[in-house]
Amino acid sequence: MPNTGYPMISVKELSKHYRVHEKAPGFVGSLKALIRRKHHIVKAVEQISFEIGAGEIVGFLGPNGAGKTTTLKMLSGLLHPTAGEVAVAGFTPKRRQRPFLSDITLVMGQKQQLIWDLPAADSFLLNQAIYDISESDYRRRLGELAKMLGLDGILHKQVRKLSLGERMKCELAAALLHQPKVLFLDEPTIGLDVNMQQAVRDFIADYNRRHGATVVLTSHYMADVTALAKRILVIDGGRLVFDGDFKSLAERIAPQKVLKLQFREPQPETVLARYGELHGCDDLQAELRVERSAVTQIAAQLLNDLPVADIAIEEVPIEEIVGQIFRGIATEPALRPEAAQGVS
Amino acid sequence: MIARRLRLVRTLLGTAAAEMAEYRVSVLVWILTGTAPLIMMMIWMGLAEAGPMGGYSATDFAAYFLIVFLVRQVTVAWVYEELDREIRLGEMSPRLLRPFDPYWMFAAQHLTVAGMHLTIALPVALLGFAVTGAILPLRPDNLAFFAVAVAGAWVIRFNMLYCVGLLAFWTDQAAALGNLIFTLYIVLGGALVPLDLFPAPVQQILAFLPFAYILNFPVQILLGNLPGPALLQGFVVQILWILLFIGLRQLLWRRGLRQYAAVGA
Repeated sequence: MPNTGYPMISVKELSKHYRVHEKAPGFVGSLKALIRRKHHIVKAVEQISFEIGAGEIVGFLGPNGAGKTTTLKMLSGLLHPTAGEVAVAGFTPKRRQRPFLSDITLVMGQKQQLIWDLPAADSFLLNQAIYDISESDYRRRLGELAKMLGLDGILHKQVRKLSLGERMKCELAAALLHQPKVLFLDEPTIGLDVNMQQAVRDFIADYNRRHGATVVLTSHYMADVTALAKRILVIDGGRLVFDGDFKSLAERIAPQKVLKLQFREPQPETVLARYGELHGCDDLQAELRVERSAVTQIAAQLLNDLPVADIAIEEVPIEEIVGQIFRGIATEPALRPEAAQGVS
Repeated sequence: MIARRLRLVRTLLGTAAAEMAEYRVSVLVWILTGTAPLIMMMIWMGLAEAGPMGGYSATDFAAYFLIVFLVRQVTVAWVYEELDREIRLGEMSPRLLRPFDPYWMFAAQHLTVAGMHLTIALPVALLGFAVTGAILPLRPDNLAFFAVAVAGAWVIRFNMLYCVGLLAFWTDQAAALGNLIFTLYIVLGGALVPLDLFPAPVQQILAFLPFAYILNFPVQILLGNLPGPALLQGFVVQILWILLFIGLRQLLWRRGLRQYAAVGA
């Protein structure tokens, strides 16, 4: 994947290991843990390397606990890496220098930086002072954000009285008031209704276009990733197992293509099953999964052998691919190079 | 640069004041817990009715505990509870993303609350002075020294408890330790018994602990009990504790951030 500019983010063999204390349940377990603490090491992120160019939008995909959020936290300086190197906008994140923190933002889920008991406008004013934003810049940016996110009428309500969607919009505005060059978005649309998801998605795309900002996002919603990111990084078990666009991800993870067929007269399943893996057969319609390499040949055979009214060759639906990634285990044989040696 | 700083301080204090004004319930809690020195005052005044105890007459006790009451209100600090919760639950993360040390945010909140407490505590204390006639033992000419010592006490207490709160990077017992330190402060700082009523060896040990310099020291200044050399010595020790806790706080903060797990989404 060609970068659109110089690398804004550069990650080399990044690892994060946690020491996790173990404790048996109950009071006796607590006592035992008091005397002798047992612990084990969890490798949340293991030797990940990648580069992201300025202005790119990149999606992190992977099952829960894969290491996506841990990676984002290291990129934004919250977590200190166990090993490896990170550079974001030319800075080492863990040093948390002022110019670095002024260049980035991290949006994570729900209750975040807004002061719970005050209207969002108060949090914005505090950010204005902290980031040293001039009055004219502040008014212009707030106006822009208010328009793009539809903040009218909610800025002066107490944050705790806002709906989830309203709060998320205010969080986004607060996170972008200082006009960061790099956006880390961890599940930015979680818990929002479909319309609101779409609004946030449009907003992120728009922000990227207007300001040439680099965006790294994780999401469980397919549409977030497909609509925004041209490049996908798949993380599983703490390792980077894929880096590329959706098309090549589909090729890697789903070695089959979909043949959608429409017949002039009903066909028995037994006949169709000879051509490939049958995924639904309904009167005049049928869907077959066929090896990528054989797809044209089989399509020709079908047209030749059977009364085909219409035929379409498609990729396996993206939801299915991502579903496999989120299920985790399914990706291992397909994506992990070392898994090819027969570890199941 | 200076204008920027001033704007930041103004915004910080304004935000803290607005936020604290929302917590009306805590005023009730404060009335219940903050009046302990007044109760101690009544107990000691009752005991001293028959005659002075260890050099304290009933009026002296009244003056002592009314000043203790005021100093405690102004130096109120709960920062270890906030740090403990924010560090363990990962709520510190949003603060760490901003180019601004959360220390100043907490300091602004504490100063605002101290100001709010003072507006209620000062009239109560003045009433107390009027009722007990305890105005006599006071030394108004020491008021400037008293104010400086209270400021020093605030810095020591706030930074000490900040250090305790930062221990949450390593242990989940930081809040418990903070509560223990509060108890020590109450007993060894002079909130229950004036420190000069302790046996001499105990007093010598207390001179090596910070608690006396957070409470007893400013109180004794306003009572005019400290001659010049003792006053100077007290300020020197205050400065040493300030340097120690500020240095320790910075060390723990830097080390702790390496440990920080930023749990939660």
